[in-house]
Amino acid sequence: MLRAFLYWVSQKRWLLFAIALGTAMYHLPYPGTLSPAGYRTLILTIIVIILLISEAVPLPAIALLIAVLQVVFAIGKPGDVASSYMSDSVFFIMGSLMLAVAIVRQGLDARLTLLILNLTGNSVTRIMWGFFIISMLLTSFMGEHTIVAMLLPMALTLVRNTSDDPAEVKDLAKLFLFAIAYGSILGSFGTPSGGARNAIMIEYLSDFGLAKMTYSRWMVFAYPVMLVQLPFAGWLLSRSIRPHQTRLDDSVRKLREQVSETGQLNPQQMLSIAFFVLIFLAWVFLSDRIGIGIVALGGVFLYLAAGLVQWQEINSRTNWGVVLLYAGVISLGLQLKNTGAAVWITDHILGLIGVFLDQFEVLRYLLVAVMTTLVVNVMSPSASVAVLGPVFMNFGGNQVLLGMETAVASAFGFMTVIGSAAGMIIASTGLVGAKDFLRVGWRLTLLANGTLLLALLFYWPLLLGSP
Amino acid sequence: MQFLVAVRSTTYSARTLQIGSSLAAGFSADLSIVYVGDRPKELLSEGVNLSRDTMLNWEIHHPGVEVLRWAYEKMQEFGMVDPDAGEFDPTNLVEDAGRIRVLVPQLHGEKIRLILREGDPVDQLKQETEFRDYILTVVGGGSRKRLTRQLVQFVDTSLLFVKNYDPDRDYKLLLCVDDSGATRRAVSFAARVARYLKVHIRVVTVSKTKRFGPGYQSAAKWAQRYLDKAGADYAHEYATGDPVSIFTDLAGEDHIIIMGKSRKSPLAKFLTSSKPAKTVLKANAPVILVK
Repeated sequence: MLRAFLYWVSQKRWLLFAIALGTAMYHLPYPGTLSPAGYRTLILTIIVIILLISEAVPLPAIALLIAVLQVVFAIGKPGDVASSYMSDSVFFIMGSLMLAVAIVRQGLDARLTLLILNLTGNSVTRIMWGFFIISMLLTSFMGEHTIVAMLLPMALTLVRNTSDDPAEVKDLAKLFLFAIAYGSILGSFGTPSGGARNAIMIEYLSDFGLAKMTYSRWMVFAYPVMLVQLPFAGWLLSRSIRPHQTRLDDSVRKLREQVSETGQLNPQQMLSIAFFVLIFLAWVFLSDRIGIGIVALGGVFLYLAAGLVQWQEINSRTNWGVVLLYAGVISLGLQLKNTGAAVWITDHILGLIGVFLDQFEVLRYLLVAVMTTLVVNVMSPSASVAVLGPVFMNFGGNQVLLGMETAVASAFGFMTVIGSAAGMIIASTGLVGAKDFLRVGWRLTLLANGTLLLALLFYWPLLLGSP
Repeated sequence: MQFLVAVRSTTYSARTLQIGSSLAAGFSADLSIVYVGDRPKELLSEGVNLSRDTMLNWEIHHPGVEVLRWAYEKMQEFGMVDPDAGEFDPTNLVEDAGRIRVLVPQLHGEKIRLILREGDPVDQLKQETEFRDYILTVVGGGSRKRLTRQLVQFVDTSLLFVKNYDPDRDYKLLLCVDDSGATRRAVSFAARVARYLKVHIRVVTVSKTKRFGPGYQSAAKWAQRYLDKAGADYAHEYATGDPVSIFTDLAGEDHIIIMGKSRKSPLAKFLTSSKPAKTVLKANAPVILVK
């Protein structure tokens, strides 16, 4: 009995720590400069961050806890809390997860394979670039895990066709997998539909009355940054991992034979592509009026109505707990703003280092970029934006720029397995490990943050005055 | 009788598998081989599941299945599987009790089971050992403090930590005898291992002071009588000092240490660790902790 209890304690130590810390903070004297609701929001935020990182309880349980404690702590009224759980960005997250299931099941991975091989030929370097560029461009529109799920089999089949000896193809596998993952990470901030964090930031900018960031306006901000990074990031990757193979003639031939067995594009696949083009156009031209999330849900409706995917399949493969969690953290982010907790946190940070930040504007951006990058490498990118966004937007500079910076920097989860969905997927193959992420990722982290800083100093300010 | 061997990768688990299968053969035990992989972070798991689905269409299997395939082939190599048994089929998977089993097409019964689990290693091994009545769990490593302590405390079977094992080395056994409740089972286990491996047993009774209490002396005498009766080749000695240091120093690299699990209270073990756990961490040789 005692042993079972001790085992439970060892498994739930982070939950117990969060409860103990929260209880202690709740009973400490409240700071006079922050409202009681603001202080309790801060306590709740700390508890949520601990639980998110440690995964001491299932994710949906964290979402439920956020709702319960908001009401119990008198941060918000039940009706307000309930309504803060559903927004266009939550619709977008829900829709994009369902779209991923619908698109992946169409069997377009074989088409994509042929497209890349036709473009690249048999050279290892060219295939790496093919993976990198295609994953970057496609991920900018449809979410990294959709693209990685489609490209990964091709990369692994090429590796398997090259040799059965894992040692022989170790570096080749790493090169291809990182090309897909890092290409996807870099592409994911190009458009609002590239990742849930982008939709969350759009929601914050709008709710906080700072800016109406349409789909195309986001692209004007972020896409050039993404394109500038492309050649340098690809070059860095090719310098970081150097397999001894230079050409994959036999492997590519075998793969082509395998893929060609699937025949021509079938009507369902053509319809599927047409639907996605339609969704993209709706995002660009309609999302400022009807919302990015509604467009995503409309897209799911098209796939379901046309019979391209069954509801049972979507229902069983969509992680509804993730949707619930994002709803919870977005609600928490709004409370950080509404209760003044976000401003209180930044005031304290600025009180310590504000003098330096006022003298050197670049330091402010650097600090936000570095802190976001660090947090995202230990926490989910979207959850990071939901929690950090309201804090960093009050960091003393232009709030729109700081918000955009937080959203873009939250993509830079290059250094850890858990920093991005793409990283987690390639790590699940067992062919790349935590050390590989650090070894390759730090270079790209420096490059990405450097490029972002340049955009913040020289490019984005030019856009602020434009419509 | 059932043994459980935990494997992690084709690179690092070969020796764990080798010694585990060898002991299972010696004890005529059924052998379960379990792969425990990392569970994807829940927030990012949807992408992993989606990509695993697409990879299956390309006949690319879960990395754990590939490790189990390798383990199965090793078992064939070691003669643990009938040569006429069927090929490993990575699609022949059955989900039961929160884990996945690869069904092995064997000709006679189910002497070997292949199991795939994902999650925290201690939690998964604990669940697996609660699911079946295993006598011995064989694991690699024994260098990570927290993991080792938790395995020793919470996995409720005897444990073999395959640490610095060299199959080409001629091992002897170092049997630690004291007044703990598990000593008798450790002696019996050691006698059986020695008979199978045909090796010498060095029996040692350690006291922190120069005085050896009646509990220690009667345990030592009982061990000697048992080993005499079992016809084991052994030598007994008394030593004074810190037990952990003495066990690990005497063992060096060429003894397999065998000792009973600790009789300390669970709370004391939880807070301050235990002699067996400390021995595993300090030793530079395989260690068997007998429950």
